[in-house]
Amino acid sequence: MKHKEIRKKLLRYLDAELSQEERAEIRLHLERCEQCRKDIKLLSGAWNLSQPIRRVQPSPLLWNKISLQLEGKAQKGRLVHKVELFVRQTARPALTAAVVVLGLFIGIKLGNRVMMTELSSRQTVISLQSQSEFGLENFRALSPGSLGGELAALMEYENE
Amino acid sequence: MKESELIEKIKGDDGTALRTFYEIYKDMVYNVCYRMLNNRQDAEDATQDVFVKAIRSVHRFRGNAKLSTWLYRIAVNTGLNYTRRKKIVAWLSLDFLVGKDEYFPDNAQAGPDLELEKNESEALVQQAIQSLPPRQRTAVILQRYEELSYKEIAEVMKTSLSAVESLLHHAKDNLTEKLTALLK
Repeated sequence: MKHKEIRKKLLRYLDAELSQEERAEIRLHLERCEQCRKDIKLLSGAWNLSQPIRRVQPSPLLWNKISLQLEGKAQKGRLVHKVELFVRQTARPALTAAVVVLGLFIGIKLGNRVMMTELSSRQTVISLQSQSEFGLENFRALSPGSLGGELAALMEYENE
Repeated sequence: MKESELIEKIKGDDGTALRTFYEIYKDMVYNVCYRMLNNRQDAEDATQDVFVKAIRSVHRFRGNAKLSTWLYRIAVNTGLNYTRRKKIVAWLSLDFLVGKDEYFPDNAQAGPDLELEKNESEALVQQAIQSLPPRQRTAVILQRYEELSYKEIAEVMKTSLSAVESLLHHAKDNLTEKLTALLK
């Protein structure tokens, strides 16, 4: 067996759940491998210390709850408890998540609207600027009847 | 009172028999639920469910298995359902974001050194057991804490003896790896 395989079997070795041959092989490996010796010491400590001698006891009132539920009287109480549990554990986080998502949605929408307004006002400024820079002023000097002159007259007509 | 007699009386809704049934099996059921859920309150809720389910469906108990085996089966299934529900609730509650340690036993108390060390060891072993896949976890709990034989585990889990052997084999190998990592 390789080191890795042996390491995996240490707990079963401690619980004496391996065959004679496997146990002998692991014993031999432990004599040579310091790492596995350290690991088995740690494992054995935790595994044996936590031997489950201690049994836990239910609350003395548990039978009352059970008999009430069996009689159907606890249905209301249990329902209230379930609703409370649902609100505390499911509805509240879900509501928080919904508020966050809604906030994000409103934020994105508002952001888009502000950006669109800004863009359209910028476009208007640019269009006015470009008109003044490249538009009528440059065509005004052209003689009427020429192509440039006709275009300038047309733009002036459209602006009016 | 004989087991068959007790069952008949439970079927007849005899109040004293119901109480006797509860008194006999309450520790067994509660401990299985506690080991599966690692939390006293959840274990108590699950125990309540187990007894209510058992009493309400006792007419379906045919006596093929021992009453304790049948109850173990209900307890294990209820425990597994609660675990699944807890996982969903934890996910919805976003507990994983705050790194809540759900495995630390809630009854660990500071005491003398050995007691403290025992509690720490128990917490680590519990943490490692809780991280096993459900069927492996169930087999380990039934073997380690309830001291059931392979045959009894097979009956509770409705599986074959060789399947139990294989489950425990893999569970122990996984536990070795997990515990070694936790202990370092």
